[in-house]
Amino acid sequence: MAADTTQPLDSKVSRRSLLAAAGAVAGGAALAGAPRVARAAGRSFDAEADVIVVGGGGAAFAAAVGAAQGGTRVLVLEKAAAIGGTTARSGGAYWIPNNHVMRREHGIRDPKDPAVALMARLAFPSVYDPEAPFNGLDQFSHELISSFYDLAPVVIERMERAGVFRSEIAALLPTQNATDGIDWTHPEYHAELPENKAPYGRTLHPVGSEGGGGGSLMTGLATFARRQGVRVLTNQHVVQIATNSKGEVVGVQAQTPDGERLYRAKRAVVFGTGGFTQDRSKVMNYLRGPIFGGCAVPTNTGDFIDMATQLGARLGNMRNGFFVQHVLEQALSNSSVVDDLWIPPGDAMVMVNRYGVRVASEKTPYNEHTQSHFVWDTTRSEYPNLVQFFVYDDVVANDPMQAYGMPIPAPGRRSPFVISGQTIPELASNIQQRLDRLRGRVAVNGAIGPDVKLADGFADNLARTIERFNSYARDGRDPEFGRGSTPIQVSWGGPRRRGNDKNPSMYPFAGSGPYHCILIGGGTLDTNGGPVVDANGRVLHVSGQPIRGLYGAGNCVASVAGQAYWSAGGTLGPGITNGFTAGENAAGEAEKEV
Amino acid sequence: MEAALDRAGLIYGLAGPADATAAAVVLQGTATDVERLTALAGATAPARALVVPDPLRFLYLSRSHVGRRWFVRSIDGETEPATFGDALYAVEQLTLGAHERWSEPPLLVGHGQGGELALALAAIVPERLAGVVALDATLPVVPGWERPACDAGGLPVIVLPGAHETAAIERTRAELAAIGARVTVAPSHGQAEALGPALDEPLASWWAAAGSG
Repeated sequence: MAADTTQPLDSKVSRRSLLAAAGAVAGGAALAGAPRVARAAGRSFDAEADVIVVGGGGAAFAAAVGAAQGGTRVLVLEKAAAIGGTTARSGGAYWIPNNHVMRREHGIRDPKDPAVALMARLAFPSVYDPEAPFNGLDQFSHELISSFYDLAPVVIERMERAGVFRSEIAALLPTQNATDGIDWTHPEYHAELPENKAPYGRTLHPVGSEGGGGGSLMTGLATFARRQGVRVLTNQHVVQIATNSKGEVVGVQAQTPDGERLYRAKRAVVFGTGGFTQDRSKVMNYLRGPIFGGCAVPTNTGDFIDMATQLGARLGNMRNGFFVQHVLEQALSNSSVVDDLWIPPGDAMVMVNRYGVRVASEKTPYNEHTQSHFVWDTTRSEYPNLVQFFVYDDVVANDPMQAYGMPIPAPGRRSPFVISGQTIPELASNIQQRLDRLRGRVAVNGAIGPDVKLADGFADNLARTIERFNSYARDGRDPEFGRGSTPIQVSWGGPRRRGNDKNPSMYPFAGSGPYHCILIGGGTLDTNGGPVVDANGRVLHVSGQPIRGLYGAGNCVASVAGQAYWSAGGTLGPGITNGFTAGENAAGEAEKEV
Repeated sequence: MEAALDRAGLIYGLAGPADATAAAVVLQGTATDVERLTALAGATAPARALVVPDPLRFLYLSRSHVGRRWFVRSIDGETEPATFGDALYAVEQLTLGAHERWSEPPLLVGHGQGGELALALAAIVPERLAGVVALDATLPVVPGWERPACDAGGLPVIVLPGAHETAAIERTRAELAAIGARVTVAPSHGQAEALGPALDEPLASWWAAAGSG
């Protein structure tokens, strides 16, 4: 039997010590030894500001920029050794409806009613009704979406005028196909929906960051904030919110390498601390589907949930996340996921479950596609799609255009994640061996290699699935899942193969092997549930009243987007808009007594 | 046969002589001309097989850095510990795998971030290495992390400075010398960053002397 290539050798690299250096301490663990709520009265403070911002990514620095106007003193406290958060690792795009670039430079109109209906439909599809009051949503959720539509373009244009960063519309790359005669920009992920009256142009990124650039976005925000006098401290693990006798928030308590620190916020505290992807307990308890990891930085352990619930905060959207698929073995071998499947490449390619059958259009965008892993089989009492099998032929593997991206390695490169077989039965046998080796493996992020077995008949079913898929490819139409039937699936699904004048997202498999497979699991960009905030960014108590002096934005609070990822930039658009708004409103709060 | 290398979880290519009895691991940096770095490694140690991994992470960091890199360097220039740990672990596993595959410790040839990982491994697993070539790199400082104690036992290390400050080069030399590495700091040819052709001969001479010593 071949050596077990998944089994690591004895290491002298202490990943735990490096993770600890990264500030990856779960909130709950640190909270256990701390007082329930820090009482500020009678205590001396280590530093003072008008507004304290906790966090160091896009939402936090947008809040710092929003707060640091007119001489307001702002202090930023970041848990990690460095600022940037998950934003600095991201594509850096932000989704802004009715933005000034689409209106002025391209003359695109994005009227409010259909835009709000589109957002409402995607955010709360189970209750959405275009004819009903508030589109079928509760009034609060609908008003949040309506406010986002109003605020987002104003905030981004104000940032541009102030010199924080300039924006441009995210453009197509050479490997992407233009659709509907639009050859200059990405289509929206839901361009085909009747509510979508502006399917091109809402996704922006900073000027000068080709193809994205979260680093550029963070540099713009942080450089501007510092120029405005914002003070930034790192290695500050905020573990408690300090309140006065009236229950108003007047500061925070942090654990630092130099001991405990108490910081005074005269007006308010804004949290922008990211989601809880890296806290396995919260992931298991809150999310509605199984995930194996995520892109979030290791410090994203949902600390704000632990702190705000002690003050009686209402929680919302806890079951949702901004979902994305990962190579299972990469999720199981790194502290945070190193790469993700956006919309996977390959035309002679199918993704099947452990029964060897397809479960979705392989070309649907990541947040939608990932949810196909969450399906529950009520008879078999299992997640049949927990792990999916990304199967492609040798032509795709060796075509530098088809194999242009994740997860298929460039031709000639050896990838340990690629499982191969000369025939489908041989491939199936090799897949099962790999699954057996991964089973029970405890990852550095706390995830566990799943117990998945290919069903009896997997190889026969997969062969039949490929045969059926080949006939769809020859017809140019996928009657089961509509692969390649929406603009985004064509645009991002990979280049059109020469000689394929039908549906570019499909091509018949080669009649002979070898065939290849990569194991795919669910994951997140980050989660997006937490304390509920109103349109001003104020954190709400379970009573519905604001907790005075406490604000939040970004992935640490209940997302305005509900279960949706509206389109590219769907995380940072609301994060930056609501961060800036929360910061500005925090600065406008009255001073509070200790 | 490549099973030992697969353990690292890295995507890689192989080059150099097929009948080699030892290997060099070629670690590219963020904007490295990897063909040129591979050729330089071949010129340095012509008898060795070359293992050339892709950097671990896909990241969008700025206009000039959209693509793969080993770890995150913050916008303030700090090395981010968790991603550094992931990369260091993966490269260590690849190094151990190369040792197992060819039954000889590998030579590490790194440029930029790849050079930083190579220098860090010189101070963590020197007994599993034949030597280290670090181009345009210094020993990384990772906030909040201390390397474990180690005896480098005469490991040959050559550092070819790029645009680094003299102080960082001197710190690298001193820290590695203090644990017993045989450190050479090559005079700055102004070519380490760009991997210029003038590097071939001095590196080949250094390895011819150091590698047998």
